Amino acid sequence: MRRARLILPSGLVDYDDANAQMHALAEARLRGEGEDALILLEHPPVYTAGRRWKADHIRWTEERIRAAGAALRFIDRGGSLTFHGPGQLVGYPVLDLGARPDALRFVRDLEEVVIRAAADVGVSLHRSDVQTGVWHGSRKVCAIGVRLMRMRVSLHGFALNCTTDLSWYDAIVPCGLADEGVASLSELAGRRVTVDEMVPVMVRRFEEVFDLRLEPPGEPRPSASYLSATRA
Amino acid sequence: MTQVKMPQLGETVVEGTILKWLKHEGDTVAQDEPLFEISTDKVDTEVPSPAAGKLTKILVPEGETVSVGTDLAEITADGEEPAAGTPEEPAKAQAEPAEAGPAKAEAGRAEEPATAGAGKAARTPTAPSPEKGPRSHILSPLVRKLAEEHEVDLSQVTGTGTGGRITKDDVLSFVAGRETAPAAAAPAPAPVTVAPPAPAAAAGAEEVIPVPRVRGLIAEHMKRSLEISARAWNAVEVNMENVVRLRERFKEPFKAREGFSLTYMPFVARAVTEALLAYPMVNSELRGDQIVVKHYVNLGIAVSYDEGLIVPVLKGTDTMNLLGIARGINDLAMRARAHQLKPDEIRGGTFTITNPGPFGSLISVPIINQPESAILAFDTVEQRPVVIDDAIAIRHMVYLSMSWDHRLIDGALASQFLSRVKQNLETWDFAEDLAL
Repeated sequence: MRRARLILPSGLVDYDDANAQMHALAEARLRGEGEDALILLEHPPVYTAGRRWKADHIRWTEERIRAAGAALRFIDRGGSLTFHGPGQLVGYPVLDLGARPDALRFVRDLEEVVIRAAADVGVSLHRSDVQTGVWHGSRKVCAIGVRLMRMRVSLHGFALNCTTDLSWYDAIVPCGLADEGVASLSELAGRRVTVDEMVPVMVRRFEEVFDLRLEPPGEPRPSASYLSATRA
Repeated sequence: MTQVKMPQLGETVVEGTILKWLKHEGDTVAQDEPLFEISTDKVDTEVPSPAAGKLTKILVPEGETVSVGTDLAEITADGEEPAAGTPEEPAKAQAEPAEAGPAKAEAGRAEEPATAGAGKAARTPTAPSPEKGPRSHILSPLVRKLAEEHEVDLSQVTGTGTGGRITKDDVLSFVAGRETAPAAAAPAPAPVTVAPPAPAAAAGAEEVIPVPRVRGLIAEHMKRSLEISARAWNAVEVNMENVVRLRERFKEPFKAREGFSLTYMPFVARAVTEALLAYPMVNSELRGDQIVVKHYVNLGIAVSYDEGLIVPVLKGTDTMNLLGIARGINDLAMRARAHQLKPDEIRGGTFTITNPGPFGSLISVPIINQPESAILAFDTVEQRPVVIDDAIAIRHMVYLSMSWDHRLIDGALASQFLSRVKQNLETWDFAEDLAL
């Protein structure tokens, strides 16, 4: 079976660090070095704006966002604005999708991982036929935004709300969709479904859907060199 | 010279948008060096250059959406002559006449007059109608979805995209035009067939239809329900003589007064509502490690319509008599079939009833409508021989069956609940309720 590295930094990981290391991993992968990888982590509060962000998708001023203790970053993925923060399980799959990648299938597979994992904790989610992501009714529980480096290696990924404080989303129009709301697994399950609870569930479903085996880094732990963790 | 084409990023991806050219005309590129960025439905990617050389021509500007395989740029290897005037060019123009629009016009300027003429002549020849290029049959998923949602016959829409392709805006402006002129409503939509030409042997024997939106949603919903619930099933047989007699008696005056027929459904809904209040665990929802027991009844009523199945919800049946329920169900069913339900009318159900009886089914095993915990099916009401007081009699009978989530409901409870519904239907005097 195909193997991939599972990278699980502890604590809240600074967005810029994670972004830089994700790109470094992808570049290595493009050179044919290293292994496929899945990074699972939590960020401190940060708003990221993809290529298709528009000014009216940000409701708060940058000053107000900073005053609230969050950062704002403009990045290279598709889509518009989203939020990352404590209580949200963020996954960055850095996978070599081959010379003729089926990007749509890749996104569907990511959605499938989340749908199955949510069902494991008793929450029924579904796809939208128009928008990327995983939904409960008209509310998005998991945002998905993917970019391929050199039409081959995947970057960015998914952000699954577990115990996320959803009031952070007041600052933005998530993904530019004014009429849709957001939700978290905890809210839908009627109990606290934490990031820690979801990590093993997501790992298992990811292995199943992508038909690979995720292996934690051996000794010495390479994760320390991949990602620097900062406690908020 | 190398033609750079819009790459395909998946079997069902038919088009892409140029986000950004990373090189300018005249720049030198190495093979596999990032040349431009595109976005498709779901994913952005940077695309590496297929060859080394000089980027001599950009044919499609940033922001434009074109179909897979469209020529985007030309790269000329060192020492090679630029594109214009190369001998294969006229043939190329004939083989791919779809390249209309500003990009091609620009390219045409650099060509020999004779070449440009050939290109122009090739633009109109065998297309089905003058305004539709050979690529007009390529539809993006978004366009297909929009067309389905608005019931647009795409053969009536004029495409303004590259090569006459129908874009999102074309569909929307067609819909806008139709709405302002309702008399010119389009006929029923024909299935949008995008199948490749079938081999001669199979011609006519198979039809390939993209999964319609509603079908896709139903499929997801049903599969998910089976995954999440521990479904079990049981049934009772109900003597409907009581209901049948009453219905016969009131059929005519009811229809005359209300304007619609009195069916069995309101009787069953009324009997079920009372039983749900008596056994609220059947009317509950498992939410994580909590059970939400509902002491009110919002009844989902499965309605079949042209696109498939929809379950509008009649809210608060525990506050309604038989007449109120009958009116409510009729209203929802009519509007469901007219595609006029509001979003909140298909949400919030606590229990669902489905009625395959009119289609001749004897007994059914339905799938639970999540996040509810049970669904009841009542099938054909028909005369059957039954034993009553040691004698065989002919009675109107029906099977009431129920799928239920064994995570919350056990067999004993399910049986008690069904028995209660049975008892209600067999013994209640509904006449007063009808207020006739």
